[in-house]
Amino acid sequence: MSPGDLERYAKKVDIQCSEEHSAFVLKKSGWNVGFQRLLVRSFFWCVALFFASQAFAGEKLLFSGFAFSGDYAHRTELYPYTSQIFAGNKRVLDDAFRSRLMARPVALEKVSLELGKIGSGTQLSVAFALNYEDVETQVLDGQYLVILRLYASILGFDRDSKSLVAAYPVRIKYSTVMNHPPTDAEKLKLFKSLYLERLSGKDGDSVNAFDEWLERFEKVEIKSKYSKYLRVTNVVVDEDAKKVLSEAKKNERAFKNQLAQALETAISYHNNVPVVPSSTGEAIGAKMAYRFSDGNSLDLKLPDPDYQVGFVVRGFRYKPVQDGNSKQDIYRVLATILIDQPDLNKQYLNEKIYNTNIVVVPAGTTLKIDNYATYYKTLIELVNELSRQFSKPDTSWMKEHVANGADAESAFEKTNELFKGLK
Amino acid sequence: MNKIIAILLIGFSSFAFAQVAEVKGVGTIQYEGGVFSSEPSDSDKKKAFENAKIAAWRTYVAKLNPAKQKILFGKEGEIAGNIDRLVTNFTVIDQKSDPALKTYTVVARVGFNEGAVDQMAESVTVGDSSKSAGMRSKDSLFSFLFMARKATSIRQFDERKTVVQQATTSTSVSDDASGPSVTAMSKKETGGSTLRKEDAVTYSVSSSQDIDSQMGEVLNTAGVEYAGYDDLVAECKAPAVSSFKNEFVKDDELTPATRSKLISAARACGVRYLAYGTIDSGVSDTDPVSGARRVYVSVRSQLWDISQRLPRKIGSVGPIQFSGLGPDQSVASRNALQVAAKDTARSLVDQLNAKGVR
Repeated sequence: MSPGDLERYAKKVDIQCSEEHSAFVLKKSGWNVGFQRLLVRSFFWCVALFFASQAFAGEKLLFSGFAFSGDYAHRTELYPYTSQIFAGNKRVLDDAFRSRLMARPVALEKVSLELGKIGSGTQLSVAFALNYEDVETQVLDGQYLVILRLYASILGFDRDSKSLVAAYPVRIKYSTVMNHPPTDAEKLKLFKSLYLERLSGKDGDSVNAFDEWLERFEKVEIKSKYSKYLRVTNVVVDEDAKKVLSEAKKNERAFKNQLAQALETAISYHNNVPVVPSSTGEAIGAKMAYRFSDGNSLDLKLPDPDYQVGFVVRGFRYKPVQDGNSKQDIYRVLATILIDQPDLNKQYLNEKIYNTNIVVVPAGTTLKIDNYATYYKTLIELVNELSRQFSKPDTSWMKEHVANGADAESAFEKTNELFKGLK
Repeated sequence: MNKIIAILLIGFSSFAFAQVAEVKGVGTIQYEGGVFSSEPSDSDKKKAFENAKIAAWRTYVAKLNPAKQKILFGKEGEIAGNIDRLVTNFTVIDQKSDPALKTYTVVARVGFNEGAVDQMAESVTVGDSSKSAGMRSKDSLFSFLFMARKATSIRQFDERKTVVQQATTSTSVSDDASGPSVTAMSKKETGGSTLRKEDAVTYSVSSSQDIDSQMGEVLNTAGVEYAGYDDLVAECKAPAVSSFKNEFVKDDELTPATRSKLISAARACGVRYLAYGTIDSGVSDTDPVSGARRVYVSVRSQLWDISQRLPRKIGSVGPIQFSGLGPDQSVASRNALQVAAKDTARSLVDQLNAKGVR
């Protein structure tokens, strides 16, 4: 263990100790026997925790490969393409993941690939857990824009206690343009390439699902224990907003699921905090099933969330404005963000927020804008920018995107304090 | 008594890194406030912290089995005074102060050392194991017999539907001013019944070695000394399992004659507490969550004080169902039996402890 590591762990222990006994603030007058006893006890705890932390510091995370989250019975319904790839060859995803890992020394340094480790020593493990899979096709000027989305988690869990320790969501997106509607076989081939190769996208960039996961994994720290947990517990679509979904023939459940995944990914990514995963479209429970590609399955106990996040999509607004040589299509998304501590019924945030996108269409063009796609893009922008505010509140953003304007600053500052405690 | 519990608890705190159960607790206090401050003082906050620990303790105890709940709730006063010895970690999650109502509320995550709690539950009922275990066991020898059977086949019957149909036809003739006319009417009534027949299950006796070893592990950890049933057969002429396994396979219980022989033999060898029970394993199916093979086992057990001529039933377990998962039926079944045996033994120990028996 390097001096830097020692210092980091000593600091971590110091923080935990001061947090655990935060009530017992030293009074200048009034040293009493009870307090001295407490001090002695605290000292022993701190020493014990220090050694426990040191013991853990030497251990790597057990590499647990690829896992599907959710019930086995619903796998083909939840992950129609990935489950087909898996059914064709049960080793293919694990092998691809492993070979990508072997090519990244920073990530490799954090994990142990020794099978013999399972069952002895620390059982803190890490897996690529697939939470959501989706493919969407948009028609643009006779061309077909095909968007593949995978939502996964860097899943940190304890094999011994079968409990989830931390989950960092990762969003993997790939889009390409085709001159015909994609067939099912073509979609499957795209997903297969997304896992097994590096796919070149329409913007010239290339994507691989496991590389995206590993890139994020290299930047996060999975601790053996967290004191507080946050979870997206509720996503609501108001009646007004449902009309837009219905017109676009979108499934409400799938929309809510996708939004919940996007929200927890944005919160985790922009604030570098773990989140308790929301259930994949099912009732949110205290356990979540994970089936690993080596055939093992675990019913992981999820931590009871200390803070819950709610998001309400209140409505979508559209207004065309004709302006001389061009037409402006104004798209607005209205929403509400709620964050609270349920045991104390203590509200941190309850703010009405909105985001606007203006699409300028030059006169004489026949470009047809996909209303739903623009609304969704506006919504995801809002979710991303909102999530940044939890760690870096910005009054100028609030003035433009929060109904209460700069008056919401104190609520966002309080939320910022909360997020500091989640790391 | 307080001092004894305090000493015991100090001893238990050395198990700080044993299995820990984390539970959230909310503690509230009403405070006075000072002349220059409307905020709670540090001692007010400390009281709220203590209340949060007690609230977490109550939540934790409420999830334990009824026998242990009875023991621990009965001693709550003494435990509350020394609760820090059972607490391995205490983390304040959040707090809320209401200056208008002068209330301060805190929510905290509290970790309890489960090993220490188990030992404390035993100690407050039967005393310190290191000092007098031998003496207690002398007049309260315990023995148990568990028989395991597994389903070898299940025959399910389709619903049998019976449809009854009755048709009636009537014809009436009328003659009025417009002339004679004939009216015909037919009526059809349909009814019936559906008969569902229960599954026909065939069983065979399976080895109880796994159950015996799992139960033995829990009993030994809890400091309960026991005599094995094989020794009762060899030394006290108790009936051998092979002599009554057929009646058990057929009826899932012992005949009064076999039970009587068993009790008489155990009593003759100085056994005071006798537990016997059955564990049934079902046929495996596919678990919809994990896709693995799944086997359910059902456990039923009774605990008797056989010291007097008429045995007295002092406790029972189940029927409770446990499930086990595995790559095949054999592993799934073994996993289910392990969980079932451990849980049953833990319940029996708690019930024995509640009677002051180790």
